[in-house]
Amino acid sequence: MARLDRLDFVSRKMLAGKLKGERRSKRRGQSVEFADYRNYTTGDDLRFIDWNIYARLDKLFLKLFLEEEDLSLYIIVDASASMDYGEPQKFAYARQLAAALSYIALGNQNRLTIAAVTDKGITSTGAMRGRRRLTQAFGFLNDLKPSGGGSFAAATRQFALQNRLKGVCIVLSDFLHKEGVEKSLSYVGTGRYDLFAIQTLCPQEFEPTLAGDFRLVDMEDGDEAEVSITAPLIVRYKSTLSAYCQHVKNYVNRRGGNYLLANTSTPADALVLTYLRQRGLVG
Amino acid sequence: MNWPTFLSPVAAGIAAAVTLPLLFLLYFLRLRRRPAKVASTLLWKKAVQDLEVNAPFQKLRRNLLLFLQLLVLIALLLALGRPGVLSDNRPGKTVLLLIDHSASMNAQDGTKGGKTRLDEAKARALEIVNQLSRGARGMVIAFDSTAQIVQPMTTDPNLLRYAIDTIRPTDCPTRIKNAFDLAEAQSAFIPEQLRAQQRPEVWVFTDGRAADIAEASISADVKYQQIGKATSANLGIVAAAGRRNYDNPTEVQVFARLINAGPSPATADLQLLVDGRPARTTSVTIPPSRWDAVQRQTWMDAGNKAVDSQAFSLDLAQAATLDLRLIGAFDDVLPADNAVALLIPPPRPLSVLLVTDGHNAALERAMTSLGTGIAKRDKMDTETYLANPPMGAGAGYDLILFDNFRPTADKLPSAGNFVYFNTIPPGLTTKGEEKSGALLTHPGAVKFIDWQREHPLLRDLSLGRIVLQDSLVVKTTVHTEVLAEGPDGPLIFLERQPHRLHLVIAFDPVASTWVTESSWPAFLALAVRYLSAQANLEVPESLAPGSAPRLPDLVVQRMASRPKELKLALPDHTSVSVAVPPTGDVPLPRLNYVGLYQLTPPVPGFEQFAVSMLDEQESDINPAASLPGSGGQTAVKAGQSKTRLDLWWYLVALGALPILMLEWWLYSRRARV
Repeated sequence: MARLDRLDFVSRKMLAGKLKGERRSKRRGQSVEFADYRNYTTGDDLRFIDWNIYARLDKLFLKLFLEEEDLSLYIIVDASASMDYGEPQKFAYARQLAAALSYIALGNQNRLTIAAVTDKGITSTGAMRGRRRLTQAFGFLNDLKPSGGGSFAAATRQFALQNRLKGVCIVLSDFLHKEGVEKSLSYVGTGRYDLFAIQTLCPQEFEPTLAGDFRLVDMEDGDEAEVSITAPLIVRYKSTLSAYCQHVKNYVNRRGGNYLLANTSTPADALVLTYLRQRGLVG
Repeated sequence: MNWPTFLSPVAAGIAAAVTLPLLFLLYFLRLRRRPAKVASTLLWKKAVQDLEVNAPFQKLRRNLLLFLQLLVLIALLLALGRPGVLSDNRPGKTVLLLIDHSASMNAQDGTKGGKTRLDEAKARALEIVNQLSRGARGMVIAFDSTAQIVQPMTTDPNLLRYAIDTIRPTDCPTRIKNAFDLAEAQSAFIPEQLRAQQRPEVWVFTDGRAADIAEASISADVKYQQIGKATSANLGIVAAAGRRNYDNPTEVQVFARLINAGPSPATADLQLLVDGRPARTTSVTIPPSRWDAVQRQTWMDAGNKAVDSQAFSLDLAQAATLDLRLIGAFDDVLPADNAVALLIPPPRPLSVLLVTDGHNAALERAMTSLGTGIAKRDKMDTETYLANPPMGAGAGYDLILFDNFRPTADKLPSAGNFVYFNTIPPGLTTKGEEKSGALLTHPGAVKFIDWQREHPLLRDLSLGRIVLQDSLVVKTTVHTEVLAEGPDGPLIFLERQPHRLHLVIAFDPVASTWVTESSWPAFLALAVRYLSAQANLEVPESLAPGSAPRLPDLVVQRMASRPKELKLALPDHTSVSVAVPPTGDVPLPRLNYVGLYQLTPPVPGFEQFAVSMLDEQESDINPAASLPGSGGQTAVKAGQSKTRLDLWWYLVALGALPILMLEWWLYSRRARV
């Protein structure tokens, strides 16, 4: 906790906030930090006229100051049935990460919204700010149960419609979406959000232990695949997984976002304190 | 290209119908997949898809184990069907060629190389010689009733070809055991053969018709090359015999039995020739001998009558050559068994003894006039006879005439033919009336009332004008065979005893007018011929082809001078010289061909030889399906000069075992994951 306290979110973009906060804003405002000059026009506040310049140049210039606003942070947790898999479980891991990130966000007076993609669509906490909302945040996460397999794209679309404020958007998911990662991330991969995609996969998905003839049942949609798992197939599976992860990464990067592949066997704190710092999400 | 053929496809089909569905069933039962939950099937499906795209046989590979098992099963099923290919004849390194040149090989149904089966056999043997690999050795053995090495083991194919070419047909029967024994003996000690631990390769070119089927066996790799066609037709005389009638020795009875070795009933004329002149002809209809009883009965029920044996009877007192011939238009591929010659021997030169006390000029003159048929004429008075009777069987005389002399029973030879004039000997069942030791007579002159005109003793004789006196009083019994009767009783009669034949003339011919009649010498001649023929009823059977008779030394010695050589005239009008050794029997060469053989100068009793086939095995030209004694070697027919190479073992070995190994490897590879 103490180590988390020292962390704060870093946005690569200068995003506009809603309230006065600790972040520089693109908007000119009333902070103490000088930003620029501009010509005086009628109606401007006379208090911001730089009289020294007027004395030297006999022209009226207005001093502009940077505005400081708060940071909007969105955490989208995939709570579909596919996350209920693996040892350690992917969903539990994602929830741990979300909790850690919420703690950091709320501790730094960021504007935090936690959303979960469930079979019913998107559910979210609404915007929270301040440490006092930690209980709410943790409670929301605690109540989540992975189930069903709705459309991730539809859920994120709904999310994007509800949260128009720009901010950092962290998506915690395994991204095993049959509709395609392009579609499922299209609404959060826009310029409005500084996207940070964390793909959580369990060790069983990296190194399958199955061998023989199986009827594999998809946990989300019940789809079945009859496969005879042989050594060549395992090799092929691994390369397919690797290619898929690379594909997700490429997509996210193309959209100006950041991507991290998380193995649930990696401790969550190590991931936050080490990997996320390295990736510049927190600092 | 020789496609594989199957010996038992039905068995394989049944097994396939049972096992193939079973395998599928088992396979599908075995492949019931275990369910397993995964986060998403996305990647798995994609991986499988990629794998299938990358490896074109992945779809197959999914069921590879099933395919392999199917292949093994199919291999086993095919093996069960006993597949084999007919491969060209490839003789081995050491071959023995056994060529049958017996009588049945003269059948003119050869399919290649000439007209006869022997021609075909030789042509096929030459094919084998032509296919001999370099350095391979061969030997040629020709066999009929004997077996001869025509060419000892050689590596020179030209010698083999020449040897095959020199084989000539014979009319001899087949004794395949001799050939097998010879082949086995010749091949037993070939060092190369022993080193290689191979059985000798014996190619037998024959129609498989042998008389010694039960005895023949050979320990060799026998390759039976079947010669001849099963559809060929042949009628043949398979048995013929002649004999004189016991009651009537001048009557010769000839019996013949025929077979039809063809596939359908045949009709022909059987002709009997006496000294080349047709004497009898009869039609015969013979159903095929290969028919079973049901077929034969069906054929007979249709109104047909099977005549497969025939008897002829003809009157023949002299020597004659009888020929039985099948003539007419009928299909026949083997002419050698269509004719049989029987030699009816000439009457033995007779020796006759006349026992008389008086000067019976009429009798003696008549005896003299009998001519060349009598070699020895002796005359003896009764005292001499009683003092020194010629006892024993015949006692050197074929006929003894007693003129008014009644020998006692102990003075008669134990066997022989006897004629009594005006007396009835003791010991007969037929008795004469006696009074104080003298035979009573019917006084007065009488004539013959009746006589058996058909009896050979009285045939064509006219006795009606004869006047005779004082005929004996005869008491007949059932054993009395009365030939002529007068008003008072029998005048001429016969009585037979074991080994004895008594002809009694119950009156004195000298005291009758008979001696002035021409029937008197005629009767004597008939009596002599009849009684002497009685002494030799049997007609010798024909010799079998291949027999080599020997002339006994005793017979040759009887010739006027012992010749240095004899000339044997063969049936084909050629002749061979036979050297006569200074002492001992004279061996004649083998009489290989059917027909009449003549010796010059004539040797008494051996002037002629009749050689006839009379062999049912040879006449039955239907080729045998398998060769006797060869372990059921399947016949290779003409035009199919190929050997069957059984593939079943190869199929299992080459197919099933590697597939099983591959399957094991695949299975273990999967299990390692």
